[in-house]
Amino acid sequence: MDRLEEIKSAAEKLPAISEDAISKLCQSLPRLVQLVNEKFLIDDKFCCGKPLDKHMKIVKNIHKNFGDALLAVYQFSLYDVLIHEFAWIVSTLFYRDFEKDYFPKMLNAWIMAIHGTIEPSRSRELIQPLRFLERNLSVILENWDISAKLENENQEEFMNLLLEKRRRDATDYTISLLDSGYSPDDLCHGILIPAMKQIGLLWQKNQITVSDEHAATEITRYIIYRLCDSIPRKQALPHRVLVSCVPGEEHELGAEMVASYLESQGWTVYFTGHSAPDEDIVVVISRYMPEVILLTSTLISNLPSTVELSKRIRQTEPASKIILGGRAVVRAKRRMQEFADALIVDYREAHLTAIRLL
Amino acid sequence: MAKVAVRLNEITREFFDGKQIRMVLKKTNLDIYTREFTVIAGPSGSGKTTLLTIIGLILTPTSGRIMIDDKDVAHRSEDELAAMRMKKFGFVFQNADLITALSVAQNVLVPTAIQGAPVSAESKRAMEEILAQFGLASYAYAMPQQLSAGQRQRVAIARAMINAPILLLCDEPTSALDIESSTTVLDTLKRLSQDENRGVVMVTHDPRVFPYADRMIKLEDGEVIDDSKSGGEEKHEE
Ligand SMILES: Nc1ncnc2c1ncn2[C@@H]1O[C@H](COP(=O)(O)OP(=O)(O)O)[C@@H](O)[C@H]1O
Ligand SMILES: [Mg+2]
Repeated sequence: MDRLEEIKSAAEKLPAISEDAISKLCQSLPRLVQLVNEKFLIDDKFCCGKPLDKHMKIVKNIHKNFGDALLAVYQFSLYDVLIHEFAWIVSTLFYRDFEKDYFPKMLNAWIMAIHGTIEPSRSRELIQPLRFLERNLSVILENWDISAKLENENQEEFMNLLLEKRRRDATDYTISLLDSGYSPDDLCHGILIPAMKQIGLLWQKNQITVSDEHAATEITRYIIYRLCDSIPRKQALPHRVLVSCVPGEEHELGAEMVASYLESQGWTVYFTGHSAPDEDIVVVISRYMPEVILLTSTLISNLPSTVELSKRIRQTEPASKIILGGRAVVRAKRRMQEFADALIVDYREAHLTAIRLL
Repeated sequence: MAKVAVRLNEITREFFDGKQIRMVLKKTNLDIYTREFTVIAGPSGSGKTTLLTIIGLILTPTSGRIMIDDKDVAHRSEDELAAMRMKKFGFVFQNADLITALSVAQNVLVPTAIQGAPVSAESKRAMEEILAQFGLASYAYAMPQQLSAGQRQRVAIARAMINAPILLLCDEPTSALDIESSTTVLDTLKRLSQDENRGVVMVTHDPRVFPYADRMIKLEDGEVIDDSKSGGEEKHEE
C-alpha cells in the first residue's frame, strides 16, 4: 500500500462531524472563502516571498472548490476523499509552478477563518480533519506526481486526433474500428473513456488548456451519437428511464453514455443533461413517470445536491427507482448507498441494474 | 530570521472573584515571535486580555516563567518590570486614549519622557520619522479631538512604536473603528509586523482581522485550544 493510501485509511477513522457544525459551515462558507482569499491578498501585499498575483485567479477558484468539497466531505464523513481531493489540488498546482509553502498556508488560512467565524465547540470539530491533512501534508507533497500511460496505440491515436481537434478524422477512426469488429461498448470502454481520462490528466499536468479539453469532450460527444446511431436498436422495451446530471454538475459525458447505452438496449430515455435545476427534473419526472431515474455526479462537491434531489424524488415519486452513478458517487459509495436503490460503477451496468430493480 | 521575543513557560493566572479563586489562564506554554502578526482569538471572557497583559509584563502570573532574552523576568520588582515594559513593548488598546491636552507629537513622545528630563533630540527625531511614516506628519501639532477615530488609533500605534519595541501588543484595536479606518490600522500593523526585530500580537474577536494573521492562538476558558504554529497539537517542552 503506498503512503497516500495509508493516510486515506487513517483518515477514515476521523470522527463524524455534528449536523450543527455542518450547517454552521454551510452558512459561513461564502464568508470563509472570502477570508481565505483575503489572507492571500494581504500576504501578497505585505509579506516577502514570491507573490501569487498572476495565480490569484486560480487560487480563488481552488478556494471556492475546496470549500464546496469540504462541505460534502464533512456531510458524508468522506475523509479519505478529502485526502484524494487535496492531493489532486497539490498536483494540479505543482504542475503550475506553485511554491510548496502555498499548501500549509492555505490550510492554515482555512483553519484561522473557521476559528474566527464559527463558535468554539463547532469550530473545533470542523478543523480536526484540516489538522489531520496538515499533519500528513509532507506525504502528500512528496507523492504529487501523476504518471499515466495509455494502454495501447489505438487509444493513443484516438487521443491525438481529439487533441488536434480533428472531429472528422476522430469519427472516421472510431467507425473504422467498429467495422473491424469492435463493438460500440468496446469502443466506449476501451478507447473513448481512457482517452478522455488521459486528456483530463494532461490538463491537470498543464500540458493542454481547458478549451482543448472542452473541444475533445465535444468531439467525443458527437462520436457517441454516431456510434449509437450506427447500430441497430434492440427490441423496444416497455420501460422508461430519466437520465440526468445532478443539479450543478457540468460533466455530462458520463450521463450521455449511459443514456445512449440504455437507448441502445431498448429503453425509452428522457435525457435532461447537465445543469437542470431540481424543480425541472422533478417536473420531467412527474410528466413522463419514468420507472427508473439515473443521476450522475462527477464532482464531490455535488454530492449534497445529489442526495437532496434523491430525497426529494423519493418523496414525490416513491414508486420510481433511483440509480446513482458517476465518479463522485463511486468514490463515496459507502455513504451513497442509502440514498439510492442501486449504484453503478460503470455505465454498462445500467441496463441490468435497472431491469433488476423493476 | 524571526526570533523568540517572549517565551511563556507553564504560565497560569488565578483571580479571586469575591467568592472563590478561579483559574482564568490555565497552564500555558507559548513562544511569541518577531516578524509575525499573532492573533489571539476567543470568546469574551476566555482570557485573551489576561494573556496579553502577562506577555506585556503588566499582569503578574500566578505561576510560571516569562523568558525574555533567556532570563526569567516574571518576578522582577515593579520598577524593573516598568523599565522593561517601556523598552520592550508598545501597547495599543481599543480606544486610543490619547491625552487630550497634548498635541499629537507630544502624545507620541509620552513613553520617552523620563520624569523631569527634557525630551531628547533623538526621541524628537524618532517621533517625526514615525509620524511621517504613518502619513501623520502634517498632524503633529493637531490636538487629538481634531482627528478621526482611525487617525487617533494610528497616533496610538505611533506612540507605541516610539521606543522601537520588540512587540506591539494590541487589545481589540479595531473594534471601535469603521471598516475603512480599521483596514488602515490593520495595514499599518501588518506592515510593522514584518520586521525581524518586531512582532505584533493582537487580541481580537473581529473576523476582519483574521486574514492579517500569520499565526492564530485560539483561547477558550483560559486554555489554548488551538495554535496554528504548533499544528494544533499540544506543544511539548523543547
Ligand atoms: N482583575 C480581575 N479580577 C477578577 N477576575 C478577573 C479580573 N480580570 C479578568 N478577570 C476574569 O478573568 C476572565 C478572563 O478575562 P479576560 O482576560 O479579560 O477575557 P477576554 O479578554 O478574553 O474577554 C474573565 O472571566 C474575567 O471575569
Ligand atoms: Mg479582553
